[in-house]
Amino acid sequence: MDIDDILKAFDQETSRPQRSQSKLYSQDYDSLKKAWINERTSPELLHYEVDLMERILKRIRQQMEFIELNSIELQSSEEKDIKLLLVIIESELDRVNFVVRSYLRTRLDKIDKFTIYIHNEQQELKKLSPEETEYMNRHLEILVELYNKQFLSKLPESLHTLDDTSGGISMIESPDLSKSVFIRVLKDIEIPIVIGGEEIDMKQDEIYVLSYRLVKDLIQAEEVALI
Amino acid sequence: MKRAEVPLWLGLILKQQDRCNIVTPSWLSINFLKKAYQEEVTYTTRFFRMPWNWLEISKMILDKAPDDMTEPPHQIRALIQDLREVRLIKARRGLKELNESYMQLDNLSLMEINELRPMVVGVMDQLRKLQVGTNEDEEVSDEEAPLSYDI
Repeated sequence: MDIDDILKAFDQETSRPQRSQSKLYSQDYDSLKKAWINERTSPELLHYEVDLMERILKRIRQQMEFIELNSIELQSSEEKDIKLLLVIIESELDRVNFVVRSYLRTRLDKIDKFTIYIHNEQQELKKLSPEETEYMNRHLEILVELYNKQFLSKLPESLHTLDDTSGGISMIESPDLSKSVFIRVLKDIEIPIVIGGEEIDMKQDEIYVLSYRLVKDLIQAEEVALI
Repeated sequence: MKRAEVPLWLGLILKQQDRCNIVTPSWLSINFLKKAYQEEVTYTTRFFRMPWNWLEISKMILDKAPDDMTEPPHQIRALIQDLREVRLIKARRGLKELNESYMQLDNLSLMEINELRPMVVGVMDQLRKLQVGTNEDEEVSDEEAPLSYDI
């Protein structure tokens, strides 16, 4: 087996069956990476990538099945080439799995942090996947129960709430949208951004640190990218 | 011998198995790095444009495939180190400009940004909080923020 075969096999296995398909697959990986970076760097919870994650998770399953199937064969036959192929698929799986895991965990982290805020906002609830909604509700339920059992029941009635907003301080933690983020400009921006009376013209490939609030829409429009 | 373009991680696996040689990227050469260093020293206010992942890629290639390089790896390593240091100094000097509204960091690479990130974000957010805390017409001066840091 020479390098060509390996490459061919790699193409077929990670991205069967056609070229156009393979391009789509690698686009999916790029989108996943982007979703992951955005989720990690933005202060608020973003929309769950429903279709993308479904495609990726399905492919992960397929590849795992492939590995399982072939590792049985591996013991019986003396094939050395299949071993390399499996190593490559395994490494790729590891890479994708890492991103998937980190993506989901980052979301759970934010869901935990902003539970009550998300719970109260219709707009925010739409960003969750069904599994995440279930997780959040269950988690909140358990948490409230725990608090009640452990100490709230011993406190005066008026101190029982967990979402008190009176007295100038809110108990509900919400994302801080003015947090500074790093962005890279993907294409020249027509309308200058105004910061404290100053106008900035953003040009392609420039890198800025500024408040998330100012570029939120540009991120969604994919004119700038979080880094 | 045939050339093909593959993802770096795949190239490294194949290299480990002795099934390929890695073609060193054109910017990872003595000539280019020397030129970059020169530019970096000449223009004190801006960064020379290096690839987005130059530090990561150069480290991986120097570690895993030094035998594939046409130029002596130790020289490349030294040049990378020099370039990295001169850029770091420049970036640190730029931190003096930190304010609550925005900062421009063109041509810094991902690794370099990540080194600055905690510091920059922390200071800017703190400054912004101070800004909100004071009267709107009363400008907050930089000295009021805790600017002590070491990297």
